[in-house]
Amino acid sequence: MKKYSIFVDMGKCVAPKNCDLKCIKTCPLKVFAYYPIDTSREDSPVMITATFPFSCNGCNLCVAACEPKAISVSPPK
Amino acid sequence: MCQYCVEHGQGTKWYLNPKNINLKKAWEDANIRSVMESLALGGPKALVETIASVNALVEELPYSKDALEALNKMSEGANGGQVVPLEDTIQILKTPQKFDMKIGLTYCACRKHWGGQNKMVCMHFEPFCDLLKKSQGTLSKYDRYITPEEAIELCKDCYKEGLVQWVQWCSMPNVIGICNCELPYCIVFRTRLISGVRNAAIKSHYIAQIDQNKCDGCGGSPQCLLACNFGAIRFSRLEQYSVVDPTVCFGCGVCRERCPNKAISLIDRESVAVAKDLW
Repeated sequence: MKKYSIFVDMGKCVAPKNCDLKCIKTCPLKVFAYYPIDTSREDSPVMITATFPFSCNGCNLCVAACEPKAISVSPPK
Repeated sequence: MCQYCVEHGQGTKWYLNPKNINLKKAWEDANIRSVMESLALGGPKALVETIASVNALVEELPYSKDALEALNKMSEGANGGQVVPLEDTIQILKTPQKFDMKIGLTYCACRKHWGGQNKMVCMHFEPFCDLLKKSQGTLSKYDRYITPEEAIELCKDCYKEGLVQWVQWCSMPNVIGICNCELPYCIVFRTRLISGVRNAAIKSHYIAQIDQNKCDGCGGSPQCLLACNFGAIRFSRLEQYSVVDPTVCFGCGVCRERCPNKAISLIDRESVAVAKDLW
């Protein structure tokens, strides 16, 4: 069983302030996770990572939910 | 009894042996302390990135049998966990006070980092809870100590909601805490179910059993089936009753808790031939 390729472009990502972590909340399989880069700040920028690519079913809800279009998903080769 | 009970239980289940719940004492061992430190002090970044990197490295599932064996072996010196039913949870939570250890309540990392949800249902014992709080920074603002009575009440409430209790070890057999888990958030259940790593979430010592005489199928909307995180319940449309698949069942007991007719009980895993070696 091969996995989807999921890429999050952190250059385009505006989480958490301007998007309410839509990718994290929309993904039905909870592929994505986030963490604050600086835990000492409430308003720290966050890192978004696709942690469970094997769970991804290619529904692309994350791609649609992300306004700045920071996420791309491609099927296994 | 699972292999860890045989090795570490001294006549009882490994996680019920009070010697294994003395985390303050385990802390005195430099090796165990360093495992606790690397688990706690890495914080959310280490947790998320470790899972991401392990899954990035693996090109294809399933893992080979050798790889799984190696991962299970490795987890024994590091971290892993086992599903436990409520009665075992309660017994575990009564033990820290014997050693003058506090219980620290914190947010569930799985629901927070994978779901953006804050749910204060994860408990660890002293001194681990204090270590964890350091690395959480502003995320620890709701962290607090709770009494064993509060901890037990919380677990009872979670159980009614359908959350599965999971006891975590740090360097087997040291019990480090209990979490109230659920899919799709719980990373240990997912690691077990998707990657097949048994020691991420070993099944409990029990299997659910449904009394057909008491089961009326909830009028076609079986509450047990809705509650089961693992898909272990099948519904017989023709007979209008629910059936547990013992090869899938993790023996958590949430179905038992949700059944309006009290038709479900937990029996020893060892009494079910097809399930007794399926950990």
